[in-house]
Amino acid sequence: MKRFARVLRDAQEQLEIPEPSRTRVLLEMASDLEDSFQFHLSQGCDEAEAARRAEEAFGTSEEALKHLTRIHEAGLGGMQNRISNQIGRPWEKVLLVAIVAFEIFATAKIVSHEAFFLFLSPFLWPIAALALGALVVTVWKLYQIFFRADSDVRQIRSGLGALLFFAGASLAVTGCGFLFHIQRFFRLNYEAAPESLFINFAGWMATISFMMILGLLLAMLTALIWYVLINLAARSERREVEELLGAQV
Amino acid sequence: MADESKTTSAPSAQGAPLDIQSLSRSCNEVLILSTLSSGPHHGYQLALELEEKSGGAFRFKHGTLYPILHKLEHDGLIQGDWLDEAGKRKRKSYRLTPAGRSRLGEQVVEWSEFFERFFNVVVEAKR
Repeated sequence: MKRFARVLRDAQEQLEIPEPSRTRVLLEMASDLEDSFQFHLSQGCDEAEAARRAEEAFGTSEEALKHLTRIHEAGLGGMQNRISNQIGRPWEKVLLVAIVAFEIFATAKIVSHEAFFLFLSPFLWPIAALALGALVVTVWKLYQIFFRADSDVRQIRSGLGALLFFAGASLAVTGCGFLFHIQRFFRLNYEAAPESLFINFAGWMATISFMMILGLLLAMLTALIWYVLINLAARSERREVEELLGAQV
Repeated sequence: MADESKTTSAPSAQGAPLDIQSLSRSCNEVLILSTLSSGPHHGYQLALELEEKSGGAFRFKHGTLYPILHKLEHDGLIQGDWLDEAGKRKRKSYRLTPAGRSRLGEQVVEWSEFFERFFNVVVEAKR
């Protein structure tokens, strides 16, 4: 790897993609340069000539590196790359765990409230289904990260985007539920007597409050879990890259 | 061969107008997919085999292969795996995915149609 340090440093300067993708690309280049070097050695070149030919055949252009940057920055994967690697300090980890714990506690508190099942909105069912989907993905990913030793790092990232989908869908269902209950309330109480209007309004408020708070809490919780998992995936990737660097040098 | 990064279908498929710009991209893609259809290859191995099989006609600078390979990987047509070789350094090896194999099949048909039409024009001009 040191043999081609200059070429790799040049490539590194032009690659504006976040870690660990950048290191991986550089490792791939280093590995191919070394293959090319070995090939030229086997063809009878001396070391200096083999290195010169390997560099010549390598020929990474500025345009090619820009393309690489664009590919690795594109889409959800690129966004996830940029967002991950952000939690590093212990207090950040503690804060994140505290927020997640609070969210779980608040959700449990609402669901266990005695009035919760009296004012059940039909929109809570799709929200519960989305939360269940998010739970399944979370458990599976935690199993991959902590218990399955042979997990490929790419497999950990794959499917994490589903959590963002669940969070977004939960928000969308909550919004739809809100609109539905408003129009339903006004439609049913358009000509109601003032006394019954007040009672109906209280019931409507309870139904809509439970649904909205739970929907928003679950959406936030799912998004937070995604953030935690994406950082755990980034940590696994960093470990793999360190291992690869150790093997290359 | 250019180092374009878009994954494209073969040119002029099903009689559609020919997009000259996509020609080299599509050509690069089908060349790489075809080479990988014989089994997993490292980046360098891939460039070497392409050059050998084509009698030197398709010579890739290895550095220009990465955008094509990474784009194909990003699109799920090939998969790159880091392999440990008997305690030596790790190397990234690419293999065709089922989606890549199916894309290759489509591209072979499309390129055959393209060349058939191309030669129709050229042969007619020669008469």
